Formats: sequence, structure tokens, C-alpha cells
Amino acid sequence: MKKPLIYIFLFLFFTVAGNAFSEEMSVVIKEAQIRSAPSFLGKIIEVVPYGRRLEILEKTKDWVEVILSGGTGWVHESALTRKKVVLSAGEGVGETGASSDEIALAGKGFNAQVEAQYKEELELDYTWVDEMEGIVVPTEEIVAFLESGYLEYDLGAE
Amino acid sequence: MKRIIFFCTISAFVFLFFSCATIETAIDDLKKEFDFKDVSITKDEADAITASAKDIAKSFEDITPEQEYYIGRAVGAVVLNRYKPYDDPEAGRYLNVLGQTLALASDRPELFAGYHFLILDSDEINAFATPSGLVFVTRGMLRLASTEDMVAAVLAHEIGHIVHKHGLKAIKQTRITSALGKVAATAAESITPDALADLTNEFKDSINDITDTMITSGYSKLNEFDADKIAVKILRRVGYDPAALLDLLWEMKANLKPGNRDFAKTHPDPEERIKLAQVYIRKKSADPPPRIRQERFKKALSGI
Repeated sequence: MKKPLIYIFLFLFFTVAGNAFSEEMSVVIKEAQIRSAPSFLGKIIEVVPYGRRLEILEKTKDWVEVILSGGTGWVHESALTRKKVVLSAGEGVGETGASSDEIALAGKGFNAQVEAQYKEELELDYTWVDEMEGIVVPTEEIVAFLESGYLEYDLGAE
Repeated sequence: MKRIIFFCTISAFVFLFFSCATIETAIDDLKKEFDFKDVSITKDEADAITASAKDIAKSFEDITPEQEYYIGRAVGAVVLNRYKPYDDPEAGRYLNVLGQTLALASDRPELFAGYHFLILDSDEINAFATPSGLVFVTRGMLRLASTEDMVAAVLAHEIGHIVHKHGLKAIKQTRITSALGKVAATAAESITPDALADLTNEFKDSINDITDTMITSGYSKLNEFDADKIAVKILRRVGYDPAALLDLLWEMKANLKPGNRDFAKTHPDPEERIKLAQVYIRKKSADPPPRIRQERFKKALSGI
């Protein structure tokens, strides 16, 4: 007779307990590389854009395990924030649009359009800035550099 | 049976209202931020610190990573308007491999568009880091280094400025308030010409604040000491001799000419930095750097 009541309470318990632990974070870099293991040596299994919310499964010292559509993966904590993405102007708290717990929508504010205007007004040349951003050192090269130089940094953890 | 129900209900509310995970995370974050590894703090203390930290956070911390990126690109363009890049692909590549390796060992390895390094064709003894992760080092500065460890010390110091957002902190508080106000008032799409002009002006003024500090007046002494502290941490993590920072500072002390448009103008006296950095550095390694490390350093930078 009382059984349904117990089920309701059990359901409540797990739902509430589950909510207390579940946490979401937003990507704060242009493209976050989600890896198969908590290490920069882990294989990249998905690339997630700026602003995307990710559900957190687990955290180690520097790495966060996130839920993906087809499983889970790891991302370094510096690529994420607890702040939420504000979708449009005025949607946030107060006059600033986004409160200190939120980040503004991608492309809002100082963006490529403002940069183009600034560049034109000051007659600045961005060629080398773009060139610099194009310099990417693959992880394998960093590993080889560390090894051959008798350096010891573990790319997974300190 | 009633006891089970009671237990479940109480537990559920405990979880709901006293989310331990959140409190512990906040305390962990604080310990990490302030290096209080061996200090135990209570929840009340953590809350108080978090609250005051949030008030400060309403300033430069409200600048989003994407805006930090555009600000940094502009600062980089201003630097490159004053200095020419040094055209030596081998030296440039070496600097990027070394720099990106060090950046991975920092507390902020992931930046909006990553860390990138460039040698400037100048005899000045100087180095700059933009908020977005662009690091510039002059040939004059690199000539002071006689080991890879010393070059690593220069780059790790600049990475330190980026990790602790010293560039963004150079933007005047009143500017941040008005710039963020303008940003908030602008819709994401279909920006009007007036709004664009307004935003561009705010942008221009913010960049001026940073370049004035970075190139003309210099960061505060505290920021410089802070960047040295981070540099020591990074050097140690990667396996370089942290005392290379002291070697470099002594070289700077010997070579900087007061009155020049370089580090001497924008940085505290190297001797002051040495005194403080020595607190974090036990002693110089008795062994010279491994031969292969020294060879690759010479191969890449001997012609600098």
C-alpha cells in the first residue's frame, strides 16, 4: 500500500542528488579539443566551438571529463568556464548585458567587424599577426623536443 | 519503512541545499589561486574571499575570451607597426616549439587561439606579450641568452603576463565600464554604423591603455615579480634550471642602458627582481645543460 510512496521518494532522492552533482561548463576557446584521455597526448576525438555548454562527468586536478553525443572525452580545465553564455543583448542581469557569472554570445562586442574598422582607421597591417596565429606546433614535435632536450614535463599531469 | 523514507527525504534536501561538491570546488579553486596548499580554510572564509573576488571580477574579468582575443590581435598589430619581424624561419620555429612547450606547462595552456611567438628585428633588449597569447622577443634580448634555459626564462616570464591577464588589467577601470556598457547595448547581429563607430572608439582607447603600459610606461613592479614567480614555476615543471632566470637578469643588469627605449624603461631594476626571484630559486644547478640541448640552442640562435 505504501510502496508507491517509497518509489516516489526514491525517485525524488535520485533526481535531486543527481542534480546536485551534475554541472555544466562553457567552452572559452575558439575550438576546444576533446581528447580520449586526460592528457595533451590523448587522441582528439571531437572539436567543440566557443560558447558550447558541456555536461561534466568527472574532474581530476587539471582535466575535466565531459559528455559528448557519442560517449565521453577529456578537456583541459583552462578551456572551460562555469559561466553561462548569454544569448542576446540585454538578456543578462543588469545594464552590462552579461553579469560576472555569464559570458556574452560569440561575435558580440569587440568582433571581426570592429577589428576591420580599427585596422582601417589606424592603417595597421595585420599580416604578421595572422602569420603568427598560423604557427601551430604538433604535440608530437613537443614530445620529441622534451625528450631530446632531457626535459621531463608530463603532458598529462604535473 | 518510515525510516527509509525519512532518510531518503533528508538526504535529498541535504544534497539540494548544501551542495558539498560546489563548496569544495570553491575552496579548491581558492587554494589553487592563492597557492594556499597547506592552509585549511573554512567555508565562511572561502565565501568571504569568493564574494570580494567577484566584486573585482566585475572589471577586467568581464572581458570575454573572444574580446580578449581581438584586443590581443590589435595590440600585436601595434607592436608590429613599431618593430619589424626578424626573418629567420629556423630561429622562429625554435622559439615557437620552445614557447608552446612552456605554455603547455602553465596554468592556462588553453587560450582562445593559442600561444604564438615572434622574433623582432631590433637591438633593443625587450619582450612583449599581448593578452591573446602573442609573444614578441627582440634579437637584442635573445643575444643575452647563452643557454636554452635562459631563452625559456624570457618566454616563461612573458607567458606569466598572459596567464595572469596583466595586459587586460592595464585597461582603465572607467574604460572597461563604458566599453562593456556599449558592448551590452549592441545586438549581436545587424550592428548600426553609429554603434560600430562607438564600439571602435572604445576598442581603440582600450588598446591605447594596454600599449601605453606595455611599450611606454611598463607594468607595475608587482606584475613583473608575479610574472617572474610564474616563470620559475613553469621552468621547474618542464625541467629547466629556474636559476637561468637569475642568469638572464644579471645579463640584463650588465647590458641595459638607462634612458633607452627598452626593458630599462618599462621594467624594475633587474637587481630588485633578482632579490625577489631568489626566494623561489634554491640554487643554480651544478651541472651544465645537456650537450644536445645546448647544441640545438646554438644551431637555432647562434646567428641572432
